[in-house]
Amino acid sequence: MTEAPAGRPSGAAAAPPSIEATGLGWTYAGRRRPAIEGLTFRLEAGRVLLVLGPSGSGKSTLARALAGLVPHVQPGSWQGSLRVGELEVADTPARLLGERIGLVFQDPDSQLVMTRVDDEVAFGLENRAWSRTEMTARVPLALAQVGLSGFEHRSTVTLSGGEKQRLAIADILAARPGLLVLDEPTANLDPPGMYSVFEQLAVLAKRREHTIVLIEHRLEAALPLADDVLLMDDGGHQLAFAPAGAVGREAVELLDRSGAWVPRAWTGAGTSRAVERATARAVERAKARAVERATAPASQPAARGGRPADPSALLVEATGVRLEYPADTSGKRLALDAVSVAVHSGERIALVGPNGAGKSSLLFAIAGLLRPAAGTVRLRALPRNGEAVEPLRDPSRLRSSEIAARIGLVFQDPELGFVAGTARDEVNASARAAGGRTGTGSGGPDDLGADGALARFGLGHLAAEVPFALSQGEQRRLSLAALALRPPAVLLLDEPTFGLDRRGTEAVLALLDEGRTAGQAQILATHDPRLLPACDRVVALDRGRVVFDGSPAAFLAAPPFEPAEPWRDGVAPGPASTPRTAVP
Amino acid sequence: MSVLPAALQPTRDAFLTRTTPAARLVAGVVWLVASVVTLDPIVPVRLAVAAIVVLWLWSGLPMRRIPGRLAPLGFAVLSLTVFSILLSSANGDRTLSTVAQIGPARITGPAISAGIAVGLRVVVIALTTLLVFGPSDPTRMADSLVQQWHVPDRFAYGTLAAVRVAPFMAGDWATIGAARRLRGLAPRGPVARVREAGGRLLVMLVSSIRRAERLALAMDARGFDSGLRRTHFREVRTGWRDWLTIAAAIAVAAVALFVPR
Amino acid sequence: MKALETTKPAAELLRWRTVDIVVVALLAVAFGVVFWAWGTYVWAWGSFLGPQTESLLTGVWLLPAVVCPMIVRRPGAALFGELVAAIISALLGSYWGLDTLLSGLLQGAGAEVVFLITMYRAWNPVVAVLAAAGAGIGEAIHDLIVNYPGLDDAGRAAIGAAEIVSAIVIVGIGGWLLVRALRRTGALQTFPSGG
Repeated sequence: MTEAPAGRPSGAAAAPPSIEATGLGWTYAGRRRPAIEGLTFRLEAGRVLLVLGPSGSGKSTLARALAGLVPHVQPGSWQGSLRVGELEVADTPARLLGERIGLVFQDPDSQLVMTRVDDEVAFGLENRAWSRTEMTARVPLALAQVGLSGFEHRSTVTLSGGEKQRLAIADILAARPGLLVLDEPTANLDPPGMYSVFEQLAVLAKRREHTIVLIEHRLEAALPLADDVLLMDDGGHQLAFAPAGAVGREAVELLDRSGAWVPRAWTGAGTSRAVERATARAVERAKARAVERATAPASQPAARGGRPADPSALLVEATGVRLEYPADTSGKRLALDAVSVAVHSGERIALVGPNGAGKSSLLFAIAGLLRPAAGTVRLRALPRNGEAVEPLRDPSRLRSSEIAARIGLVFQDPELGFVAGTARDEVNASARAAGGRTGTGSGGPDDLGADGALARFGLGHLAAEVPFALSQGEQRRLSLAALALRPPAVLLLDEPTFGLDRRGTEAVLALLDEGRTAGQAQILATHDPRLLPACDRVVALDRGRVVFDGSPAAFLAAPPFEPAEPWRDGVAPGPASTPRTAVP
Repeated sequence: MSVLPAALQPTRDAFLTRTTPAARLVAGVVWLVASVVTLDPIVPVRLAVAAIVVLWLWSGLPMRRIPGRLAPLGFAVLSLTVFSILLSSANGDRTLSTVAQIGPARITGPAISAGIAVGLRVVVIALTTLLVFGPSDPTRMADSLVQQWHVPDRFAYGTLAAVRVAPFMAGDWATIGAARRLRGLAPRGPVARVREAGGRLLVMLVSSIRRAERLALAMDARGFDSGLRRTHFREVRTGWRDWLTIAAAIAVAAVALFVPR
Repeated sequence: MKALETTKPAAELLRWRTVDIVVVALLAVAFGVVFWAWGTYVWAWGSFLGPQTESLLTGVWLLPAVVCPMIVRRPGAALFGELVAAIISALLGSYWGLDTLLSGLLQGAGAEVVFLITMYRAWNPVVAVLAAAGAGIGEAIHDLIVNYPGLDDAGRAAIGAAEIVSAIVIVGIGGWLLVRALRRTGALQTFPSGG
């Protein structure tokens, strides 16, 4: 084996560069609308930029342009100028850019390449022709920078989400880039994972050895790190570029109107308006039913007082559910251990807990997809006009055609549930399975009211589109629309607001409100604390056990986890927890 | 993933775990060729015995898991043997004496021995494969092929990356099935089942292609397509154990082929 | 201010981008698992029907040789896809083991020759069927030498014919339909086959 010559003088870190965009625009090949257009700003070297904007505002495109993937890897057309330090991105070979710029993506599982931690960190260095001696010296240092010292020989499969994402950051830091670009690095993580990533980012930001561009939806944690902010609208245009502490009122207003999340510090408001409205309604209804929601300790959830007197309102009853992991996944831990939950008509429950706590297992058990080793799950359909209340039944014994009226599940990745070639057929397929005509369609004999449902969900103009080609938000609304013509009694949603901006989140909540008014029970498994106020009740799982069952307010006041900080919304982790506006 | 066999990994350090995968591949091909060139059943018998001895003493693989691993082979060995005997060209040779008569079919002695040889061949191939792939993980295999045989880096490590994310496909497959059941769209009847499997496969492939695109973009962001000649963090070097392994494989094959009974 | 167009990948015909490599590899891994399952659960039982009938089931093993190149349209995709799928099924423990690699190589080469003759320019159903037939011939050559050496000529001819027919139906037509269905979902937009 011969050693190839090193790509650049070894050891030296690239200096943090400034970033200067002038009329920057990019249109992906095959698209008519530009993804970004007319961006003009200058970020000084060593500062931290937070990019804010709704879905479709081109934040990821900007990240890719900074790393040179646009225009050098992905096809399309480029406008204007983007300078990173002294380099003009469009004129610089991707290889040179790659040595100075590091890009971290959203999904840790689609950016790790190797199966062992040290191999993984070395991968990018091998690509850049570092010598073996240099790599051997550099790998442990990069791991230390993200708090993963001693993980060298671990398999990447055994890491938690937060650890994986920190490893992805170490991969990038290893090559000693001057510019670090992070594209929603915590979107896929549970609160503890998110917290640990922000802790490391805070340390990096404080050292000032890198210019950092951060794209994040978790604003309460991200904003305190930022020196400057770039606000973008849903057409990929720049709304404002300003120091984080000096954003104009008008720009904030525009950002809010574009549908993006807006940091609380800027609005003064607590949560977004729709969430507030939803909360108010929940409170009203709770009063109307005279239900006292006790915040009793979770050890005896079944013993809580103040249940509605009407037993027919009980839709799901899970008692002492015990679920084992498949034998080959080792570890004798239980996926669910003596879990008891009762869900009533018109109730919206947030199911929270760290990854691996059993949230998905519980959803799957309620849906009858996993049969418990001990305990029972029973559920029933909502009584239709004049019909008698049906007895509670075991969902795993129901036929597929029976289950659709009782249970619906919207997956985090909705496209995995799609079966049809167009959005219209997607809705029709569900309607047909649920037993024929239920809508009031005015179309042909095949129309089961799909167009009406699509229109109500804001998808009317997309009826003839291929479901797989829709955006993430559109796909989630489509999977809800498919359930609308014959709504199930119990709706389960796995991370229903994943990847959605404020407008998308409000849209989903508004649609859920309709179902709930009709008596539907809803269970939302979520990592997003912003959703909790819109729920009636929070059930928290930890290591397969229910550790809390009570009101959202009680949950947020005293999260039943150790440490509790990551579970409180609006708490910024790390040493830089005070807002910084000035650069030393 | 439950239908797939769990990866067979060495449980201890052994002679073969210190050899390079490329060397084991050469040795394995030698045995493969030796078992294929003849229809004399004594050759695969000898090779199978040798393979079991090597597995036992020098592979580091847990012996108790080997039988379960090879069990599905039973049907193939049996049917291949039976049909090779029944349809053998030797059965048409009138100069040979009839050993058995099944209806119109006439069976000769050479047909039986050739059939047994063909069946045993499968056993040898399966055991040899365990010896080649078992003692080290896919990463070492890629390292070895790239550094020793100069297999193109981008293809070797691109494939390795794909292998790493492959288990997600199994998860997708299960999720797709669950989603369809809950939507009331689970198939009934064999025709519907086949059609549904096709639709499921399509959705799984769409999801996999998207995942592959994200992965490729992340690899490019880390300079995978930089055009530089990649270096190697972990060195794989041909050592004396490799030469010994290949020499021993050749010697055993020669004995199996040429030593008279 | 400057404007710059980067072209669609269709123009750079010969170069494998990272995304081409990873997509072919991942599809091949998926096919490798299918091979293993097919071999273990379907083929092993089908084998009791006798080699000629059973040969009608062999087409499944040739899917990567047509599907992979039809998606990425790069030289060598048939060979690369078949080899990776073969390696995976060998790793999982198919009873053909190492021999799978040899048959994968021959099957891939059979299809690759057809794509080479078109200079990697034609990607229509006719080419798909011809490539499938090419892969089938590669497979027949392998199987007749390795698996059925003792059979009489009529038996061998029947097996060869059955394998080629299976290839044309399952891979030529089935594979082409699969690629068309994928294209309709919009999942192939980054590839020359998607636009």
